[in-house]
Amino acid sequence: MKALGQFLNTQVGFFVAFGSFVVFLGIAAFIISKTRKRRFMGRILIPLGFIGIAVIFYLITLGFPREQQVGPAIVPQLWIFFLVALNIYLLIRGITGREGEDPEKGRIDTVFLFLALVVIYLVAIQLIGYFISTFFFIVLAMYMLAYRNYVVIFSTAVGWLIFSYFAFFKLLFVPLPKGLVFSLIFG
Amino acid sequence: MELLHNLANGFGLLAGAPQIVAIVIGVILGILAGAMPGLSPSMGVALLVPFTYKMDPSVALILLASIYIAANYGGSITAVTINTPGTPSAVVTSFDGYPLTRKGKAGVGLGTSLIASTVGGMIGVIILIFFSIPLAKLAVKMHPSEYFALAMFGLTTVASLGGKNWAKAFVAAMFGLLINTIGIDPISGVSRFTFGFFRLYDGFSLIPALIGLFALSEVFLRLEEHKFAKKSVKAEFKKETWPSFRDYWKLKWTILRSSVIGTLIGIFPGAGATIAAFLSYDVAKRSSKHPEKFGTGIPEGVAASEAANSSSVGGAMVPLLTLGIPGSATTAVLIGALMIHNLNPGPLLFKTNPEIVYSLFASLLVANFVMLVLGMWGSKLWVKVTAIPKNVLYPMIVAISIIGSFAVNYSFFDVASCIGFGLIGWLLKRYGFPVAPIVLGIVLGKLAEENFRRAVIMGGYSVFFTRPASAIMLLIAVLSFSYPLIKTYRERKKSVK
Repeated sequence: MKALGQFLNTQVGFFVAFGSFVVFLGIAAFIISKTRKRRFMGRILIPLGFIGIAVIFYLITLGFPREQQVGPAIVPQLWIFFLVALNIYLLIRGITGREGEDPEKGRIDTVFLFLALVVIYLVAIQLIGYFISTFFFIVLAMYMLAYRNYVVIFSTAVGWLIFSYFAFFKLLFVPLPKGLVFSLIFG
Repeated sequence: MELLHNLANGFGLLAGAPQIVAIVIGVILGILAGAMPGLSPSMGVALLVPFTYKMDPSVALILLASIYIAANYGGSITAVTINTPGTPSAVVTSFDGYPLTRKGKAGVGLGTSLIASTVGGMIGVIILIFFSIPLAKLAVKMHPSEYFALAMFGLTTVASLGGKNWAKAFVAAMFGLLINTIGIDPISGVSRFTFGFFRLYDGFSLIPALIGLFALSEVFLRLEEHKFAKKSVKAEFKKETWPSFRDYWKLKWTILRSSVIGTLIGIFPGAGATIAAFLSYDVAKRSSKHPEKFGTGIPEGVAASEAANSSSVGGAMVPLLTLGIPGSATTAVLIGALMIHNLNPGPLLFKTNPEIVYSLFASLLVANFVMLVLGMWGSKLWVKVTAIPKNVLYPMIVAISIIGSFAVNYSFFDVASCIGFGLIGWLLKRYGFPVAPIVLGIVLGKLAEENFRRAVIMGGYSVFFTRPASAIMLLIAVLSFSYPLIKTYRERKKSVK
């Protein structure tokens, strides 16, 4: 078990643990969707998710050295114990319906589209630098959220760039990324 | 009498233009540093230290202390208006501050936070002036078991934060405590839960986690709920309601009690403004005739938090000036500033440089007053943020969050973790889990674990019960944790009958 704990605390171990966690939740979601409990899906999966994380972390603590009186494993195991106990309680409440049904799904598509834009923005910062990518992010995000006053859109974007240049770059010396492309061209 | 004489001299030394300019500039910079997510009071002070090299030592200290005072207030501005706490301690202010804004009463939130911060700050400084030496002796005697008990007591505020959802609140707190263990163990040097990624050796930074859990999760939640129409929505600047003197007077006991709690908590090194804010909010809620209203947007909640986090500044200065021990991250930076100017903080400072110490005391009182004036003028400006259309505001919150997370360590890992915490916060909020206990767990985790292990190494497991202060605090913590559970159980039994 010590070897397993030490293995899971490595980069390969992370992907194995993460993959196992996703498969575990996927199987649980599949089983729940075939039963009458499917309207409590979220209320069951979240405690299961916490229990899954707690189990993975517990296995990792088995790989910590135990020579000391109060070693590095004691306190995490204490938190894990409480986390599992509380989530078993919530899981039972979720399965029996005492937590109520899952909330109604709102515009999840808008959230994920917006999130995708944020991720593209982060990648863009590293490629073409902070200022250009931030300008396009602000303009596109407002447009995506159906705002159509173009004067406000462009002036807000430009105003924010000016503020961040003076406040963060000049005053606070925060090295805002130039971007890989510009670094390669201009050095 | 000597104390009053020295204090009068201290006020006299403020008569010069450099001192007054230092206070005004310090307060302005402090408010901006506190309001901006990603900047903290300690960062604001640290950034200005190099600019003070050529200054007179008393002017330098006045400038830096003014930033410290104002930054704790500044954090409440963004906490109230856009649910993006600028400082960790402003998290508690957002519990009632943001709901007030959502009800269209941003003026009440901003006004209350300003007055409570000013009064709390002044009370903290008054306690500092008159009781610094005996309080410092108390702070030094704290055993690790008592620090652990204090941390446990802080955690029990989760029970009242969660209300009927106490189990979910504790899950969130345990999750925060577990996240805090990620990184290199400070006692044994073992790498815990880092999965071989060197970025995780220092664990997750608090500020990006805070921004993600509060600001980004709220943006995602509102995006899910709101249907954005294509027609252009103009900003509606309605006439804002500001509290009257009578409204502030009703909060006097809350502010006074929270100020004392905040100062006392601030004295203990490592405890800090965040714990002070959580504890005084909890005490205010338990003492209130209407505890069920806390969290729905009431001025008492804002006042309790802000008075405590501002008064903790005075408390943190106690061990700094009397013993040379920093009471918080910002005072640790101030120690560096004092040494740069050849001033050694400690008991001798009062004897060798009383004019520096007492001009500092006087400037802290004046800085609170300047903060009140600038805050009253500035509040009329900050409140206009609430009129901005949501489809303009949300992208700006994300832009602020990203640069704020990056500015902490100049790392994209922090930005990615901010977004990750934002998603976790969104998911948890959808299913009724409060996210504030996660922050409390992250803040208290280090204090709890290090002192637990030190206490056991020094005296075994029984030390928590053989030391009276520790035993009493743990007993209060157990009662404090059990009371809401027993109350919920009794109410449920009553409703079944």
